[in-house]
Amino acid sequence: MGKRIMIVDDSRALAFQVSGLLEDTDYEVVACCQTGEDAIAEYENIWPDLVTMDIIMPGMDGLETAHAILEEHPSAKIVMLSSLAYDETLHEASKIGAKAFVCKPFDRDELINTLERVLAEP
Amino acid sequence: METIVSRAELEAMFDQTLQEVTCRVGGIRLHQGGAPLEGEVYTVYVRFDRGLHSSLCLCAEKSMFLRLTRFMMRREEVTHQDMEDFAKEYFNVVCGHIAAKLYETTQMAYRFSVPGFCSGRYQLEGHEEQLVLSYSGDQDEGAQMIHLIPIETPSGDWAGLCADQAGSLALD
Repeated sequence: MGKRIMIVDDSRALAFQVSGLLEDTDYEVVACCQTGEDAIAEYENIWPDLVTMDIIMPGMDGLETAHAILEEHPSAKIVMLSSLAYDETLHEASKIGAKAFVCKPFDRDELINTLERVLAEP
Repeated sequence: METIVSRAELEAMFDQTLQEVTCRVGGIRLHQGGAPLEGEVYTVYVRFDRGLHSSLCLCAEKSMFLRLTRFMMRREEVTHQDMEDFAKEYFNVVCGHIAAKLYETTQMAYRFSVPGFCSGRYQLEGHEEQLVLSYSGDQDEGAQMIHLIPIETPSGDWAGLCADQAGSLALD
């Protein structure tokens, strides 16, 4: 059975791109949330295998959202997808408990290899 | 603590990042120079609200945003809404990389707003154009990267980044 992915990004473009890269793979995009607040609410309805999370979003940013989801669901697997890839954000994402950080722009192999690695973790 | 980034360093960061990201994300090779913008133009912009209190814009001819969108979507037929959405995502990547480069130099964290998109040249009240870099694309699309900084108030209050007399930029 395919792995169920929830995308959290205010950008319709990013959701389009990620969905396209995951076509014809074992990954199924089951939800796209445009705000952190929606993502927190949807997580318990969807129970995705993995969440991809942007950082810059209106309202709650991605780091706050990831933190909120992981506080409630410590086993959640969250991969940050952002262009804000510098030491402070990488460190903060890691401290919160995000499993990986993929810097935009990324290609299909980078994305799929990261998803595979994170989903293989216990 | 105040960290100084020279105007030349800032200009080099903007230029290098814009050229690299535009080529990788949008498949467009930009080179500096070129004629004034012509025809229908749009602007994609962000406001830096942590580390650098200013705004950064890319004002470009519609042909550049359309080409960028077609490349990113890998399809010929695109709508105006597609153009807006993909221009914003592209500029988000440009600004993220600029923030990362600024961090390398200053060891300060930078954050910016969700990108906006508008028709014409972006005007921001209380701000002036401090840096304008002009480009031509490899199919002659015109574009300008514009750095807007707050104008000093009569009371002398000043929020953010300004050019000092030595031509350096003070980032709070």
